[in-house]
Amino acid sequence: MNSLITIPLCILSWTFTLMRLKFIMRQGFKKTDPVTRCIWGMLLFFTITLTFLVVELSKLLDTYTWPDFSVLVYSSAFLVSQYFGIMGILMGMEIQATKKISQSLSLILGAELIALSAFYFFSFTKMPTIHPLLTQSFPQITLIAIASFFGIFMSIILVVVQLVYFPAEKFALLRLRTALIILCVLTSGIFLFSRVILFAAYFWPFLLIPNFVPLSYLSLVCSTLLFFCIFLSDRLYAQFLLATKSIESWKVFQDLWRLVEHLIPLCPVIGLPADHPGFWRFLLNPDYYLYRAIIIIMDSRAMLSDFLQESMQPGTPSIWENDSLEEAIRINDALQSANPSNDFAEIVETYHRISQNLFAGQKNTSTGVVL
Amino acid sequence: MVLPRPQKILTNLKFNFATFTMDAFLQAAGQSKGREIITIPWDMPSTLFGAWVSDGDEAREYIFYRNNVPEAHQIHIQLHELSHYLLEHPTLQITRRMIAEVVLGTASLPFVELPQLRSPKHADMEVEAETLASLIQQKIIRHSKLGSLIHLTSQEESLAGFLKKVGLSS
Repeated sequence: MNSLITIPLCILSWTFTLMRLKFIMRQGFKKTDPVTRCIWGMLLFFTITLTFLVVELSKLLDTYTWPDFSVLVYSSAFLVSQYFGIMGILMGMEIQATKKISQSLSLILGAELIALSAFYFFSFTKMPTIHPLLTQSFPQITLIAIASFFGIFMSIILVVVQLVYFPAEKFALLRLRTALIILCVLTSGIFLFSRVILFAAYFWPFLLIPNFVPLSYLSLVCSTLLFFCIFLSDRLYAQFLLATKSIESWKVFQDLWRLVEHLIPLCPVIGLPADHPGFWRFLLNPDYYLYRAIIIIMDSRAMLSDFLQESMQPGTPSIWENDSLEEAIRINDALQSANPSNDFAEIVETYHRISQNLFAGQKNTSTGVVL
Repeated sequence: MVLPRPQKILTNLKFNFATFTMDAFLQAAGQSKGREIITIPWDMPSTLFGAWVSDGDEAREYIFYRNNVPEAHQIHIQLHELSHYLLEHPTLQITRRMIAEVVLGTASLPFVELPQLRSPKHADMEVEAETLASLIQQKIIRHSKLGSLIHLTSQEESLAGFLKKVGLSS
């Protein structure tokens, strides 16, 4: 892969790893939670993998050790990284089968490393490249394919565990993190699968379609970036979720506003004239605009009810004409049927539902951006 | 557009909205003019949501608010009436004796004499009070205190506090 891509990724990775190390050292390595240690182990070995993907560094290592030793190092480091990742996640999830799975994983990792080393030390002989697009020798490709095969196997374990865990997770923030882990593992799985295809391409060259190699590296870059996203702080996740929630709230606000627009002509203007904020102003303080819409609805609810009761008394003229009276009764009935608790989200949801039911099938004429 | 006067009044109040509670805010608003503010849930006449009246005998202000609407609405009504007070809009004065008669059921509060909500004559004052109330609400929500605009001290507690303060219960 091009050094212009691998070097920045490598710097990013070392920065993350050293920052986490600083955090661990501040607490004392032995006192640190085992999950944190495992995650740091994953980061460290992933960083080593990336480091030796930098062509210049791998050449340097190979010059001072054995031919293509860097391939063995980064393939092994990748598998160890995966091992620590799965162990950390399993321990973090505190599932009952953790001990059993971790024993099996340790055995698998041992087998993987032995297989890689054995292949490297006993069968490693340079062979000429047989395809113009394949820049690595057959033993190199084989070594990577062995590591990829085990990598895919570990990825499947991790994805299955995460998919089992995902529906049970109630917190949006953790759900998002879990989804990113799954996505990261899937993209890295694609990269690993592409390595196996490269191996197969030595025997069946037709498998090597144009742009296959660059596209496979794209999946590696995506997977690496997702990997770092997983380690971003909860505060950043919370900001992201807040922004997502604000955009979702906009749709709710649009529906509430439709109800407000129908209520205003029926009730005399209550205090401030209702002012639609528009999309961008709404995003600055969504809760405030939702709250104001709710207040207008509540004011109108009380007022409609009062006016309708007054107009039912003999001799009192109704303030509405035929069509408006029907509309007032229809909206009043719907509003009075609701009795939300003192939870803001429930209040919003209740009036949102009422608005949707009242104006189902009608075109939304609210001003502003419609998402 | 925000009216300059409500904005100025809110700035001069120098209230820390990060510590907002309705009680603390009422206290701060009262202290800013050397008055005590008492909020009272009330069975208000039709189409009237709230009313602010001033005590002619003592340094007290009474805010009556409709008791048969959702709590979030009751809080909004209180803030709207409190805004009239902060903006120094004209209002009626009542006496301790009148309060006692109202509680005993021999007299009614003079709500009809109040500048009623939505009266075209007082539309500007209503807009000004509602602007100030919405500014207060905006500040509260910006300081993540939305919950305090939804939940209320229990009506019984509020009413008992009022009766005690005006010397009608021990």
